[in-house]
Amino acid sequence: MKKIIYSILAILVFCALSIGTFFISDHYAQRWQSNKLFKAKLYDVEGKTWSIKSLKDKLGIIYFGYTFCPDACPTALNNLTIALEKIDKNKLQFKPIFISVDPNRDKPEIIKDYLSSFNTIILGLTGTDRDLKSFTFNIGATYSLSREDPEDEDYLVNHTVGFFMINSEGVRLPIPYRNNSEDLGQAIVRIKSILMSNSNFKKFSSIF
Amino acid sequence: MIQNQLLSINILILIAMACVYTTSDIDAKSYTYKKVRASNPWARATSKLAKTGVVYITSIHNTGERAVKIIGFSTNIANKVQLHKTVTENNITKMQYIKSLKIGPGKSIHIKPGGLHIMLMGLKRPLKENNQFPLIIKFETLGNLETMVNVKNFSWRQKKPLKHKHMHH
Ligand SMILES: [Cu+2]
Repeated sequence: MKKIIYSILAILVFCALSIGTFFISDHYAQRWQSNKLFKAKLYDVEGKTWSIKSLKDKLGIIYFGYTFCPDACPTALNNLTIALEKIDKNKLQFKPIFISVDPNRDKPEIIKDYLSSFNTIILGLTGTDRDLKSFTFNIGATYSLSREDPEDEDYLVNHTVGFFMINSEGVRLPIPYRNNSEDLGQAIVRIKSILMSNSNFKKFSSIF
Repeated sequence: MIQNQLLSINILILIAMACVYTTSDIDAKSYTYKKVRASNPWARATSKLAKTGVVYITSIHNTGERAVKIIGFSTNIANKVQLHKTVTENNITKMQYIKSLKIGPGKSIHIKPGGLHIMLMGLKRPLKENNQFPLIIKFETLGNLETMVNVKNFSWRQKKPLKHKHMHH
């Protein structure tokens, strides 16, 4: 008889605990979700969805651009690959990411083809215009189409220059614009140390 | 004795190689028409599916005593060619279409990465490394300067050109 009571008690305690954790985790989950960075659905060149959680213990270095851009974008990405080869030879710390803000023309296979020209593997991402708008806005970047004639397929896109460093918890900082790989590498190292020293107490309040 | 001879032959070969490198560098890449000279027009190689490309010209020099004005470009490799300028304002980068560009007497302009660029839109085929294609620079009243553009590898940090550069010093 005692055994049965104990078992029932154990089950009750177990239920109470699981309901409790469910509510607590749900509470945190909502806080997470309030951050639009986690909500925005981006996908990679294979069509798989990607979120900043996929970064795991790496720091993402994000560049917003479009493959139609033959001058500023390749120059910036090229500087980034050279800088990373120097400061992160074994590719353990950083993940270079190119996010196309021109999903209308930049289909996954076009982004894949564009990124194949670089020496380093760069993760290519894009999304719907809505997801991109929310992601860029929440990270502190922006873009807009420069298109007078809606029929014009050769339109240009104005976009934020430079890079953003971000971790899997959404803590992020812009990397000041540098036009050569050496200065860019130094800026990355500096921003990394600032971000690391901030990321612990910012863990649950990733908007700043 | 034989060693000495071998050594001098080696040196001669090296000198000859250096000459070939430097002359090909200067001769093959400079184009003159009347009072204007375009030096080293080059394009970045593109990936297979690219719809745009870019041409840079190390310098366009006006040796005359009157200003000249670039009013356009033409090429058979793309549907549209425009002179653009990459400008950054308030942290936003954009490309501006430059309709015409004046070069004063004795002055030069430089069309290089991150600034002015000749944008090729509607590429008819991808630009492959070591290929060439014609590009005409149109000047107001003066006429057309015909050039050939060399397609270079995307990244300008390859092993070979570094060695090549050393030959000049
Ligand atoms: Cu352009």
